[in-house]
Amino acid sequence: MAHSKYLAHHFTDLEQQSDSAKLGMWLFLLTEILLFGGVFVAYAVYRVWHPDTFINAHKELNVVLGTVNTLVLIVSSLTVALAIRDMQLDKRKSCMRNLILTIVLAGVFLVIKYFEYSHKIHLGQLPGKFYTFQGVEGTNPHIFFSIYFLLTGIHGFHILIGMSLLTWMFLKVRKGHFSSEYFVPIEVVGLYWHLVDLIWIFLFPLLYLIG
Amino acid sequence: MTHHHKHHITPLWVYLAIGGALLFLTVVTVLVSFVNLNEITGTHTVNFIVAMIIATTKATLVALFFMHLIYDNKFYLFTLLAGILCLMIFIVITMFDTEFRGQVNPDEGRPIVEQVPSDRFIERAHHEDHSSETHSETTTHAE
Repeated sequence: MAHSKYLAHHFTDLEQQSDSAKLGMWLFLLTEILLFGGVFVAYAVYRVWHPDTFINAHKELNVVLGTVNTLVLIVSSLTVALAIRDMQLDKRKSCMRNLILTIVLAGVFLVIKYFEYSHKIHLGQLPGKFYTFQGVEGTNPHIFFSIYFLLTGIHGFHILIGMSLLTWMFLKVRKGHFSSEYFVPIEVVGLYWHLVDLIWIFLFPLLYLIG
Repeated sequence: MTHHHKHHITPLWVYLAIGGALLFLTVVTVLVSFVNLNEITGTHTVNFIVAMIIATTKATLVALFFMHLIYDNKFYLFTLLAGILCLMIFIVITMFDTEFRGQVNPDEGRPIVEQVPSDRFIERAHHEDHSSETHSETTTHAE
């Protein structure tokens, strides 16, 4: 049996090798769900304790910017999925284009987030003891902004890491490291990127669209 | 064990259809959020439930098609569901505590629910105790 140049010696074949890589990534994604889960639990507890505060405080968030960011992330999820498909079909140029598009969309997301953050910092809608804003009716409004900054902050950090990983993948594709025979690193980075999108799919209604 | 040696290649139209559905559902969830379903139905949770149903639908589409769970080895799906199950246990058991601890021991339920007034919190309450007489009456100290 001919050995692939991509096959590490401790695996039987490429399929087992890529299955192992993907399983490792899924186990990591499981821990990511629990990482965000901690803040989601805090959200649930405090929202039930201070329902009026959450309703009133969420009106301070910009629904238009939040919606645009949701659409941007969904399209970036689509482009990364298409990049992986391109690699499966050995379309290297198209794969590079889709990866660049994903990175640019991630950048757009962060720029919009930057404007949202600077507006909140300007108004003093900050977490915990840094909260100086006076316009929210209800008990302990600073808690909403603590949770807002925690959730979107950890999420934004994931976007940054995702952008770095996507850039790394782009460089490897450009150097011709991958082919339709071996592309599991892009697949695994893609899984990570989709999870970042998944988390945002829940963050968005929980923070911006509280009924 | 699976015996296929070729990776499943999702047709382009599937990706585009899923992407379109996700964009559509995003617009729907935003529009629905402007309708006060809680008032119409006389409850407190209908808007929240509708938003979560739409979010879960979107998440399922991403996981099944973009993340290939529908085609891949089902053990990955199992891993994801195990994570979600752990999260559910985390949320439900915590909520049982925070929501019902007052019914088991009324004294323990109180100090956490009764917080300081709206635009004040503990550090500032201390500070204003010294600076102004009028605010000292309204501030209570959480334990």
